[in-house]
Amino acid sequence: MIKINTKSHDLSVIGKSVTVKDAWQKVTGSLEYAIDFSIPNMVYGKIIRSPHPHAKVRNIDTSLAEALPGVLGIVTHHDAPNWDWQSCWFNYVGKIMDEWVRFVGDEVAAVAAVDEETAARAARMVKIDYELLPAVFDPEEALKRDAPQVRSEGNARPLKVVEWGDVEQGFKDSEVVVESSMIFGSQAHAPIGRNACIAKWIGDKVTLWTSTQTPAECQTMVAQAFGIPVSSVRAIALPSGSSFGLWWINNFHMVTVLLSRKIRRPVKIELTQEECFLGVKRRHLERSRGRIGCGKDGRIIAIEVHHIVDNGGYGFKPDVGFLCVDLWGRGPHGKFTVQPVSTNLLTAGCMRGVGDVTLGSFTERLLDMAAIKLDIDPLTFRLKNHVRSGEPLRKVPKEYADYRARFNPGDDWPLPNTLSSEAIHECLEKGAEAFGWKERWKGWGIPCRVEGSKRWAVGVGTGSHCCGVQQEGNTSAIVKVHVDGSATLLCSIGRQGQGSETTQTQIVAEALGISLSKVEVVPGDSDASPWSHGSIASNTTFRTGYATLVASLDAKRQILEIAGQFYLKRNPDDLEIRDGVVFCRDDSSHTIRLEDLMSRLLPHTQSPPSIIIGRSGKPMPPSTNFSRHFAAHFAEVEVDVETGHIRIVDYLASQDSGTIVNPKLVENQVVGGAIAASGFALVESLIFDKRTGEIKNPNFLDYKVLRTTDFPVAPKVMFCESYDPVGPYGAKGAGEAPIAAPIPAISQAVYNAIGVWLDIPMTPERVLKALGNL
Amino acid sequence: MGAMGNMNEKFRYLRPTTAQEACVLKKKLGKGAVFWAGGTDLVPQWKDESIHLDHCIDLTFIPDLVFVRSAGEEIQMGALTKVNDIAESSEIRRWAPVLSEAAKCLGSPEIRNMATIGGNLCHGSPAADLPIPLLALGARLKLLRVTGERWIPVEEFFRGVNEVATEEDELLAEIRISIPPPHTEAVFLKETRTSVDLAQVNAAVRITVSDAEELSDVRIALGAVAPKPVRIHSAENLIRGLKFREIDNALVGRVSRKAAEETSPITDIRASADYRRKLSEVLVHRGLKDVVRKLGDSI
Amino acid sequence: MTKLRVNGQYYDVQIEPNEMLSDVLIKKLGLHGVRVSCSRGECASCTVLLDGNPTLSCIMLAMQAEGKEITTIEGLGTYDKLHPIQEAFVEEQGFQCGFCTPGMILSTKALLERNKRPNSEEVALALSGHICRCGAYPLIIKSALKAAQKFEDMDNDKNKH
Repeated sequence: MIKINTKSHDLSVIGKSVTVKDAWQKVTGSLEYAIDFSIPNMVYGKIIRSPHPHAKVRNIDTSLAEALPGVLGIVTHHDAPNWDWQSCWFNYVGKIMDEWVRFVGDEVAAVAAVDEETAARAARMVKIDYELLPAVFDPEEALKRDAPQVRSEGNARPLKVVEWGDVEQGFKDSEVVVESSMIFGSQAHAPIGRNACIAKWIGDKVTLWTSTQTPAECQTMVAQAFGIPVSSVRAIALPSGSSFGLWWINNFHMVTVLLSRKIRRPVKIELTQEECFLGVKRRHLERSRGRIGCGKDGRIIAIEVHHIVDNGGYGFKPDVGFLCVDLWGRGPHGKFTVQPVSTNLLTAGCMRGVGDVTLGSFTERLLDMAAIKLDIDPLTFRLKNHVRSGEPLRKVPKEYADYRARFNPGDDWPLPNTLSSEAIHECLEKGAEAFGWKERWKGWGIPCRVEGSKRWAVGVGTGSHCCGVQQEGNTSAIVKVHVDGSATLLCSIGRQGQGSETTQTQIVAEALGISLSKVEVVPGDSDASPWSHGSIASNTTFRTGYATLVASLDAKRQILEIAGQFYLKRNPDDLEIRDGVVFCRDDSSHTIRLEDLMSRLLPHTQSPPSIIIGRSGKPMPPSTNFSRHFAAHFAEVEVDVETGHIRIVDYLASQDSGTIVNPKLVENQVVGGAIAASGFALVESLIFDKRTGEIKNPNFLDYKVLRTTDFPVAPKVMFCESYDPVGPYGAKGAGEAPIAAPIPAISQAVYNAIGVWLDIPMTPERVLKALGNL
Repeated sequence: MGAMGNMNEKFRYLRPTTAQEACVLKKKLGKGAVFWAGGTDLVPQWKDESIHLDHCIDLTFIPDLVFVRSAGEEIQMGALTKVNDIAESSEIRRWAPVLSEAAKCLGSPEIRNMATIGGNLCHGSPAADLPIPLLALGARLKLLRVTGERWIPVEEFFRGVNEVATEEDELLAEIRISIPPPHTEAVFLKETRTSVDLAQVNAAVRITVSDAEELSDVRIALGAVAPKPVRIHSAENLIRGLKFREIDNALVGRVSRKAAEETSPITDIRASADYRRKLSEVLVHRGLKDVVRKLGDSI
Repeated sequence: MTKLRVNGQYYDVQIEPNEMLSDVLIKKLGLHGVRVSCSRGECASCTVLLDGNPTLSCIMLAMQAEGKEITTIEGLGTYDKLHPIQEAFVEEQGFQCGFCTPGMILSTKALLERNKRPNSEEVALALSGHICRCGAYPLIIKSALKAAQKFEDMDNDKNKH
């Protein structure tokens, strides 16, 4: 394991809010997203989508469309490979197109034409004969034996079980047992930035350009989808406009590649806003029910949760990422089961904080209900029960179960299946102090202020998530040091506003001892950037950052060996680099500049080094086995008991992401997560037509997201830095705990204001119904 | 399946510079010609293919349709006056603040820079914001055609969902409101899902108290609860003519419940019918209390 | 051909009657800083200034912009010399993905021209038409306030000399 002793000297760029590398592009409007991108000779594609939720395609008549001047070709399921392709984390498993359509909006054909207008017109002229089939929209209905089968493997996935101890015994041993259930609407990613895919074949190699969080997976999955070598695919990732897990590798990319292959011309398919809402992916519809048992002293003895998740038409996820089971897994008994099931709705899959936003919020509600029964306040209850560093993690994949037996204690990695670092206690206590929790908390179900029809109350909630995943591949990075001492980092990351292209270069600059202005990054060209999961599952700072650090130190080692052997005549361990100058730690008069080292002839080769390549070498053990990041959020709400409207009037977010590489960036992420979750808590929900499952609100008029005037103008953000033994400079992931903590905090505050627990979103109608006023 | 954007429909663009010229064009071109102002309602409808046109008659280059002026006991507004200018007009803020309050709530800052008072009325949406205070103010509207003009009270202008009283060749040219008599207070209320949204319910309440301290005039208007914006006369009648000091909580409650009973709301994306009925009662109740309190301060 | 005045320059453009201003600015004048997202006037990403007023270019007929002064983000500063508002957004990091940023900056410009010293609530109201899905609102508001401060400092410097 790489140990960095960062506490003995000042860090030069880590921990500083350096300006993001693309700031100038963003404020001048010159940052290029996929929708802005074009290549010479490009033509335009338009996707034809099914108007039916479940049907067999009997016939597709393209003759009229093909006869339209300017139409270059049409693809249908007859052109598509007849095997399933599989997206990251089973977010899509299915054929690019086949004889069946499985949700309203499903891709069934695509047209290429010389311009968008012609493509759109031709798309309407394609005549498709469907044989309608019965459809199912409700996940619990879809589990029934006689339900229409959405896919050939059947609707239900195997039950995912995470358990320890014996819950039945645990409930018998409990002093207090509380039971509840919770329903979550389906949240839409609702991106402001639309997406496009441009695909071009040259011979047997295809290049695609798109806005994506997962450049490497674009490459490997296009290869798998088309049955070609990975080396025959080049994916170039462009920045995305707010993704939240939407823009990975999606089926519309495959349709674009297919269309381009057929007509042998570069094709661009650009999605409309509506297509972004109803044609790609959404958060699952989720339902929880369960119970919690506690001792009289407030310690959790047993938790049992059963969670149903709908996968929509093409999702095939075996479970959701719920790390709350670790956060609250201290008790001796637990059983969490997740039942995913397919429906004839838009494909459902990962959205920021998957599982923790929902199942996590339900778990927090069980905590609160137990605390109420025991008359313990929610802060004290959480302080008593949260997991501590070094304690067991419960959500350990079965395939790692024997990792414990094979683990070599000689390695100084963290113990497997134990939490490597946390500052949860601090997040809760310091957050509470800064929020004025003691003064504002009046007791369960007691508002802190009442005036006319309005009630104000506070709530606290916690959330957690992993720091990256490793299941589909390991994360690597390459650092190239150039002849002038500048460096380029090659890695696969997303650019959806989280600033990874900056934080990764901060790590390189720090490790190599050179100026940040001398570090550039190739963040997503699969021909150059080595494989990584990309920026999903809060992966980037932790896993990619680790790989970046290792690669930087590998390059540094090579530099110091040259310096030591040929110039400073010292052991490389005695040498250091700062500001681009190599020097002896105990004699700073002995130096050599990096650019001199790289450009002078070496005696034994009679050529200069010219380039140094640092590799990330030995991979990290499974980070899901030891690393988590955490958030504790505090909210004050105002509830109008006559109209049912809820407003968030004050907010504080405290976060444990280990060392904070770039505070301003993470502050932005934390608030962004809080606002997205607040939207879900209050108003966001996709509405499905009862008869067809069609999404009735696929636009920003009908699907509301929060505005500047819907959230406090100056929420407080604070960092409680644990120091992770593995993360680069002690840093951990940051993006998803902040979207998991708000719903518990806000719904608890609502309970305290008006004494009712509500499903999500907590619409005014639900408020009034719960109060008996509607 | 929802429309994917209307790239294909061509239409011709015409730019009259006087209201008369606009009417001549409309009469000549008929149904397929559409009067076009800010476009904030028309463009989304056209893109979604719920309207079709062969001619666009752009009204935004007719300066004579853009004005706000007080004349005698009236405020006169050209139909092409921007909603933002209605919101910020010092005359309207002084003499009919209920209208500027509603204008401030319409859409977003950018929409208010583009939308016009005429357009908001002619779109005929039952949830539109400006009809509500205009109903409470008893506005009258000038409809212009080639051969002349006619005036109609605002209450007769709205016929149904997206249906207004203009004949095929008529142009809404002007809106006039009488400056309210002394001891009149009015308030506009709007409930939405988030802070920028179409109304779930919007309402206006206006009361005038006579020198004899009687409620000489009561106006209650509600939007988004019927096929068109409406005055609830039966609720108004419960307190019209009563002495101001007779107005108590119980009476306010009866009036607001009556107003809610008279609504015929639907369930849509923004709210259910039940919730709209409830909100109607709450908003009328709040509106009455607010107006009564303000009147109490001024009498 | 129609004459449009964009960022201080005249352009002769062939405009179809059914073309929106955003279509013309992006596709015919290459001004990709005009960002089209919802294309229904709901999100304000496409905001341009028309005679100084924030206007939704995706729902405005391009023909209606004739004779007006159109300002896009490209008309503010340049990469080498940012406008003070752009500087403020860089300093406060008033963005995440950057998609809504041009619109936010232009509306901030319009706000500061009519209200030199807005408070946070006034800034929030002025920018309430703009959707930022990333949720950068608090730092966007801070950026606008910083920009106001910059202008005030510049005014003070001017008055000193």
